[in-house]
Amino acid sequence: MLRRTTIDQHQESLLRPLLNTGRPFLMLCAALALIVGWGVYAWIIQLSQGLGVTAMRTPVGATWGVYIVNFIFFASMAHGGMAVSAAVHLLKAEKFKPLARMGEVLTIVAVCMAGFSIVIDMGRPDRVFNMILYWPGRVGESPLTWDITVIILYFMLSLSFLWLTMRRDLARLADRFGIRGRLYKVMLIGYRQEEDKKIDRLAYWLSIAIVFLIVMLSGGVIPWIFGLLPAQAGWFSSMAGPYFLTAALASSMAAVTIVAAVLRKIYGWQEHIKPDLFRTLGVIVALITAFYIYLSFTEQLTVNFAGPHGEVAVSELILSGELSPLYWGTMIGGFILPTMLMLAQAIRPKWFSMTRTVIAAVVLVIAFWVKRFLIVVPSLLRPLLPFPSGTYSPTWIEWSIVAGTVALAVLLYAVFIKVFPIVEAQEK
Amino acid sequence: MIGYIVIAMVLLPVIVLIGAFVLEKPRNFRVPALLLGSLAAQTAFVFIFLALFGLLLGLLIPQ
Repeated sequence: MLRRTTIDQHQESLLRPLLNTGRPFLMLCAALALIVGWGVYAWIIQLSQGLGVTAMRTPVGATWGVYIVNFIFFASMAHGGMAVSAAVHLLKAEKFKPLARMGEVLTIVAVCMAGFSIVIDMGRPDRVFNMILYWPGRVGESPLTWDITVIILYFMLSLSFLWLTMRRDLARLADRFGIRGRLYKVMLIGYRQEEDKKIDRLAYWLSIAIVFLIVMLSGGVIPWIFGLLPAQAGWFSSMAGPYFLTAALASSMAAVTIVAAVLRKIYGWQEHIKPDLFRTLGVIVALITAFYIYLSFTEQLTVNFAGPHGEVAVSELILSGELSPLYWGTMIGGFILPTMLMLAQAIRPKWFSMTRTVIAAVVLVIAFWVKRFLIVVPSLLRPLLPFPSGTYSPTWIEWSIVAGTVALAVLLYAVFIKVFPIVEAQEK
Repeated sequence: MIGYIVIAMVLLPVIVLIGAFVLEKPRNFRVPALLLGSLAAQTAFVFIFLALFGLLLGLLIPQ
């Protein structure tokens, strides 16, 4: 049943994460587990004492805070990886093939963390099953219900995609590893080598479905949580869809760049992941981010030219009010400078530096997190209803839980690469 | 009611695309069955997980 294809030295190097586990890796896992444990401790306090331990307040203050920011951030992160993978299968962009599975796994981990961030934000997470129970009655008018539906569908399709496309690699490796080999054999249920061609077609069709879902998720149901609310100044906008989609693609492809650079460095995959790949990724990320900067400018121009009072109040808060240092710091240091750097490398190839590209990608990922904060929170601090303006400064509980979810995401990714092949083997 | 249109907008193309894959030649029963089985198993898992997770938290959280 299993494939007996020989694995040459070139392919063998792709198995390094499965073959070698050093002390630094174990120390990293231990450190991440500690942060996760601290986050769980903070969450237990929140569960037992209620959301009052956070800085979220109503009616004066922000009712959504860093948990929702984290949700948007992780949901967005889920797109770049699948977009890269889809490009490989749809456009035959073989150059990106080493990154395809890295991206798919990033998607799975990020969607899990996005869902978890929502549960953390719930005042009564024990009622989480009500989302399913009352789904038929809510789906007609609740953007949150659309959101849950599309995210779960996206997750299931992505996981099925990952599992089915990984089976041919598992078949090659099942006899080679002890305990992991047994797990591979379970996952190879019903596998026959003849299915590989059909799997290639599956990858093609599912890639189209997944690209479509990316647009519907980050350009649709997630921004519609905000964009469909006229009662909330700063959110109500038909531009929310393209705005969120652009941010999702740029931030997640920047994340794929970081993951690829880290794995390349640790496992010595210089021959598989060439520097040119980073230059191409950098150019794509920079172009999308440049468009995002343009959308941000357009948004502020529209509001400030002759906007309604509520919209202007929110805009003032971020352009010249107490959040302005964060806004301008993010726009200039987080978006404009890294974008200029990456675009300059595209214009003058001799200026290209992989290190600078990766640093720019890290800065962009952080900047996009902060920008989501600047979308969610300011609007809630300047309500249209006759309540006074509020403030929001996350408590240590919130920061601990956010750190815990980020650490959990990295830990899950690290464990995955020790259990499954993270780069697809090339057919000989 | 607009929600039904939104959900249909999302689901119908996905169903059509999966249908196109299933019907495309060379036809193969095994891979579509695996895909649909995987989706069905995950749906069941999501339901059971959310129910058990809610139940567990219900026992832990002071009412």
